Amino acid sequence: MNITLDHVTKKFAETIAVNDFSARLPSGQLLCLLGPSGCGKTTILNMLSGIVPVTAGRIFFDDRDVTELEPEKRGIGLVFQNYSLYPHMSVLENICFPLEIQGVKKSERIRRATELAEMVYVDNLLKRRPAQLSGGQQQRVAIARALVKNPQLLLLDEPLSNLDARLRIEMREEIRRIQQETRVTTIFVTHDQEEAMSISDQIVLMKDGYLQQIAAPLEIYRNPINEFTADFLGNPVINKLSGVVRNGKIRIDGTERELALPTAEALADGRKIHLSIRAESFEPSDERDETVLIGSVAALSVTGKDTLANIRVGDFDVRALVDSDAELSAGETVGLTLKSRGVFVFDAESGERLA
Amino acid sequence: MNLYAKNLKNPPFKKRIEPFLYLLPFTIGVAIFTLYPIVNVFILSFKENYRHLTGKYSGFGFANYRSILKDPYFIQAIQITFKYVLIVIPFAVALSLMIANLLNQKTKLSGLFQTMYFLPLITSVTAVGLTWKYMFNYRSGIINFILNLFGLNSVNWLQDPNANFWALCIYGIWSMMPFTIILLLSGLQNIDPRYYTAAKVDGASSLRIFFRITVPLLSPTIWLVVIINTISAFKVFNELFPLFAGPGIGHNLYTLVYYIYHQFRGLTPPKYGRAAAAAIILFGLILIFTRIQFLIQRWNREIHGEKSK
Repeated sequence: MNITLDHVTKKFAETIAVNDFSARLPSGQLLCLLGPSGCGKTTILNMLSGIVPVTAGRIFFDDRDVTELEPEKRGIGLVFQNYSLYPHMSVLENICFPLEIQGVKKSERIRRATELAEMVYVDNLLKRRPAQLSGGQQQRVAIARALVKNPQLLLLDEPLSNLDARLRIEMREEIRRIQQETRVTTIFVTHDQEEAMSISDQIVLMKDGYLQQIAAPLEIYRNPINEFTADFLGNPVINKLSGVVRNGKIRIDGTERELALPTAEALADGRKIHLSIRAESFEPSDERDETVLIGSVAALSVTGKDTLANIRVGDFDVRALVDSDAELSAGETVGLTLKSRGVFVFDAESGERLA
Repeated sequence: MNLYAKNLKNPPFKKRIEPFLYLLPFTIGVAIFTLYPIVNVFILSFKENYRHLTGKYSGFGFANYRSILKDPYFIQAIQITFKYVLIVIPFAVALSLMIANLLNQKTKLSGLFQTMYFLPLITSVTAVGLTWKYMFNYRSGIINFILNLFGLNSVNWLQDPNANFWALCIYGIWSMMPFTIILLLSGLQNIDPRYYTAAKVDGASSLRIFFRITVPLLSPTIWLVVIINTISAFKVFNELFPLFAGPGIGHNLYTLVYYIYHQFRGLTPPKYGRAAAAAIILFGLILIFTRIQFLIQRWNREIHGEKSK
């Protein structure tokens, strides 16, 4: 089911949680609403489910305008952050409950619920109460309960935030698997960029109520639309060096030389910029010409194949992920060429992508 | 440090006695006004031929119990009390649950309503009782006025021996409700609203949400109010005075506690022993009843799997 948000705005008393949000979300995919806390991603989810009414704008499921529709008429399944399993009902009763409401026959109810329980691997726990389950099992039951009435859209609100680190990785693979088996359009909310990168087909990145970018994980990583997007995605965090444009070249603050960057040639003289470089986009070099950044190695930590080098360039500490074969030593002066991928220039004030 | 540890293990006498000194005033009060009377009633119920003026008695035995169990008034008192409990408790709890559920809906006036329902609790029992007496009045009471509006005949609530029991029940239910509502309301407010949201997203009607989610999740509180109210209903007595100035028409509202009171105050010479024996039987009945409810509650919890928590 295609989802279209058309200039959707949500105001809570004084604050604007979601601001003029327009997007078309493709059908059958695993989509991730990503952004820092308070960016409005959960509000979007709640507006899609109908729990929270929109202040302005329209929401369409395919061609159907659902803006004013009651939650139960939207054909959605919802998984809450704390799962909200009914504590007085068994796993089976919990999964059956949405069907019970729809008036499905009891035998059919149990058949469907058992089928779903098998898919999420809780079929051996059907008689248990939620309090007797681990966090991961509760999560699975909550997903089964959300899927049991064959929703057109599955919404998950921070589904992994209540789990410990290992379970989180296991469950995000599970969500991926379940989504691919059922092919139901799935939207999940997270503030963890790694989670979003690892399982989603498309990332919807938000900040302060505004949509930043919608793209596939690798695309958004390689081609961020603005500085926030570049900063938010990637681990280690992208290196940010501020500088000034001088004759089509970049003078990084605290250095005495210009750096020639082919993509920056057209920039206006004197413009303040941020040069953002991914850690893996450096390559040690013996050259000392204008295409090379020069710095001194402050610290090294070998992780195996790669070495994370802390290098002082001008006023900045740069973290570079270099091949362990390049034999660097602390205190040494090193030249770094920049790869064509993972090097961005942003306006220092607006964060707008310049190159 | 070493000294301190030593002191902790074997403190001086003064230190050891100190906490007990703090407890002493309260303990003395409880001992004189609560413990001694309880023990005394228990002993008194077994004293035979007790003379309250001289304090003499012939010996210990079950004579008091035998005589009250043969007393038709006592048997009647037990019957009336049971009937009262069995009628008042379900109605009071069910009505309170409905009102508490309404109050729990976030509406603009819910604060006002909460205050209104709390009011009966802080008003004087006698004043309220007199008000009810006027409301129940055969000729000019508002209750008959309303009945007449619906084309029903007036009921002589206070003087008709077939109706006065129901007047007592209505008054009992009404006076039980505020505290019950407060307890249920606090129980309701402890239920995570996300369960309601989850059920609503699945399209559950409010009636289904009430019976399938609210009531089961509230059951610990419901059992609590049932037990508390049962204990208080067994002791129905005060209610008799403002409404009927006594045990009704021809003793037809002769409750268990009224029986105790009557043995104690209404006879010359007073039968202290029989009063004490009746009090112990009342104590036993309340104990059995609340114990049964407690067992049901535990069984209820077990089938809901909360025991393993």
